Amino acid sequence: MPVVKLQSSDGEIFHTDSETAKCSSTIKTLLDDCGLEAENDPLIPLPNVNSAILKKVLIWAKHHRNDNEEETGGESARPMVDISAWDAEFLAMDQGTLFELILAANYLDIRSLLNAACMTVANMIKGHTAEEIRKTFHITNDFSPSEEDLLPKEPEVPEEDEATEYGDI
Amino acid sequence: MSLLAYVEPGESSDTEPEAEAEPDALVDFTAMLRQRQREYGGWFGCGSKMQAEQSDQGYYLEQYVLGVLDFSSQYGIDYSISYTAANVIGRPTKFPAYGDYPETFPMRTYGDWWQRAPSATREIQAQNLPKLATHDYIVVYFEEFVVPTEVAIFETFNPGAVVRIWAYGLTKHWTCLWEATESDLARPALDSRRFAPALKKTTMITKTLRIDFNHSRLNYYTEIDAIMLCGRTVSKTQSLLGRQQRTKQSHQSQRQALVSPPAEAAGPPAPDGSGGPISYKLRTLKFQPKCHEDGATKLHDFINNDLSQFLMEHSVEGGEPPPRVCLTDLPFEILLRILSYLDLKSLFRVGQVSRTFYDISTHPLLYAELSLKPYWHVASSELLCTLARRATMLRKLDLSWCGALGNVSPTEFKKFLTQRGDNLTHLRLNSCKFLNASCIENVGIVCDNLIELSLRNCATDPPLLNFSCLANLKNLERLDLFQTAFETELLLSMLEGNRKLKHLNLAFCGVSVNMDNVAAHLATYNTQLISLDLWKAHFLSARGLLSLTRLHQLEELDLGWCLREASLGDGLFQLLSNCPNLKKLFLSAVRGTTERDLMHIAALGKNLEQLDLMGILNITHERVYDILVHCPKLQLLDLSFCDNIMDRDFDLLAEWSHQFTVDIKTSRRY
Repeated sequence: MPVVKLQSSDGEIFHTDSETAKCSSTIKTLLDDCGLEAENDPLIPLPNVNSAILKKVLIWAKHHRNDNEEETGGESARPMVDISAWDAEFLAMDQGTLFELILAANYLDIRSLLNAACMTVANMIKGHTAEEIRKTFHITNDFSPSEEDLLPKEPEVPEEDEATEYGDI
Repeated sequence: MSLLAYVEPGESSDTEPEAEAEPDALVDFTAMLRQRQREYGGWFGCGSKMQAEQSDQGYYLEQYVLGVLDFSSQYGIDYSISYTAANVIGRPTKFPAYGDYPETFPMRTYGDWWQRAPSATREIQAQNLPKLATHDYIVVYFEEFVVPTEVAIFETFNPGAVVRIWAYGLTKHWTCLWEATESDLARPALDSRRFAPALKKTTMITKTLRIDFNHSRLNYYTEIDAIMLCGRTVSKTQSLLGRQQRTKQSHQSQRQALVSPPAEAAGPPAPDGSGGPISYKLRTLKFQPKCHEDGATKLHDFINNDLSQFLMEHSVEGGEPPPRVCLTDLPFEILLRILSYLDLKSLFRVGQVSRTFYDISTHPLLYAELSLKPYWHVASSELLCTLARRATMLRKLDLSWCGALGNVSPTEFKKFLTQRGDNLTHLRLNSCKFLNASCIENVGIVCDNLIELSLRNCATDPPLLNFSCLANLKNLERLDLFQTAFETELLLSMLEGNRKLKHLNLAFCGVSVNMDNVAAHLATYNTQLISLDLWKAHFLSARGLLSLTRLHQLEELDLGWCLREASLGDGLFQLLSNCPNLKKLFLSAVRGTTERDLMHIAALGKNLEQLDLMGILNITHERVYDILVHCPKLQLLDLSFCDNIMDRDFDLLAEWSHQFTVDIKTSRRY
């Protein structure tokens, strides 16, 4: 199996098989269309991905290299399926790393990794209040109080209040 | 039929003072009832409600359904008494017996067969769905308002479909009193049961319930015999007193809050270590706002303007430092992708986080598909108005089940449609109670790009669908009029106008439709049809069936309870020869099906996956074996009520079911 060399932003070189490397559409294009694969021992510099993240990306890609793109769902049938157990465990990492991984997946164009990672972030948001979300992601509330009042309320049932309940009788 | 009519307060409280006035009589009555309860195991009272015990807090009441306000589907047809929603009214008629009884309420589906059929649809904005989605519901009302303590559902056939119990309160809001978890749906024993899950503690008053069903785990149709609402009544004077007290209390506490600010913030630091983290932080910082004069105003100023800054600078939690890369560092399109996985409610919440997130969360791309069906209980004109501003790129809209209580006005709906309807490709308005003829007309005028129109269960009198502008629609590929009355003329002109039609559902279309004419029209104009549901459509004869055999693309045909003739001629043979793609064929109770027809099914049904022969009398186990051998793709075979299959055959069928990996349904008694 042909070996591909990937160079991270901090200069580390990773050896991998071309099948794994081709999980990334960006690399696949380089290899297939730009004829890099024909070269002996191609070296691909990835100036936007550091070695720690690239290592993770390659772990993911190795696990998923045999996935069929059709099965995992293209853009048309947007995957609303749950994250696989393996992915969920793989993506259980600190926020900073997760976001860097997302940026790398975006740059390398690995759609199913990007989807799974984005879904993981979405799950961290789901069901939480605005204040909780701010806290989780270190976001500053830059609304003025008057603006805040004008924000549309989420579709939610007000808690049944005893006083008004009985008051209507 | 309006929900409002039944929930107007005061309407039924007249009976309570009467009961209070005659406590002695009531005690006797109660004693009598207790006696009866002991005798009959507690479920059969006399009359539809029982007053079981007396106390100062009002009366404990057990009552059965007085009327049905709404339902999404039923197995039977409106003018029949068999298998209809109205059968949940009153005391249980069959419980504790277990089995299939026409005196109960089953719904239209079970399992996930319908989702595997060619006519299956994809949910719009599927991320809004709860873990256990609602497939069907029924809304019922009772005689008396109570504070609910127990809701009991009497399930007499295939129990285990109830997933949520809602109560409609006097504040005109729905409260979910109980919600199932996965483990609740683990297939329960095939026996009748009185299902009364522990309800959320509440002080609300209600006499209207909605029960949600999820059929996915069911082996066959579930049947509901009765629903009981138990709780304490609330007497008039008591509640008025309660209200006064509460308002007085809340006034007092409000005044208190305004006059003297909380001690730990304004006063000198407490010497001991009491108080929460904020007060502790304030103490350690020796924080003391200057509050010589007008302390309250100062404190309010501080809380409104500087508190968040203060908390930021002196982080109470002392939390971890932000990571190298923050969520806000991600590019816009990635944030958009993340938010695209959020349900509508979370999307609204994320919009309250910061300006950046407000901007992203209101991006039109996130509102290209909208479904308020899972939010039926909070959908309102205001929400529609907000969404109209955001959904400038709207393509698919599902407002099913919304507006049952008048909180969505027809005017607001029409406004929404006028603003955002012209690019709509999919529109689902199933069981929408706000729809009137003028709304439908608007759909016809504005939404001329519709590919799918679903108007299930919009039965009104007179029918909404008369000579309306719906005939303007020319691009329909799916039209669903399940349980909705319409004018035949309108339907015929729609069929003529929509030559690309692929899926048509006319189940329960009522007695006024001559289905043979519809079938002839379909054969002439809609030859691309893939699925056709004519369940319980009257006036389809063998002549109509012959017309249908010209629909060569058919993959799914439901003829359940149609074709009431003694013979089908060679209609079925023609159908099977001309429609080789047929995957789903329902012939429930098509009594004219002969042994020869069954042989044709075996010989020609190469692609059949779902076959329903329920109630076909002359089917024998030889023919069943034939079909199993020759239809290799078969997954579902319904042979319930096929009376020629003897009890001794059931073991054989069970064996074949295993051997051919086909789910065979029989009316075997367990």
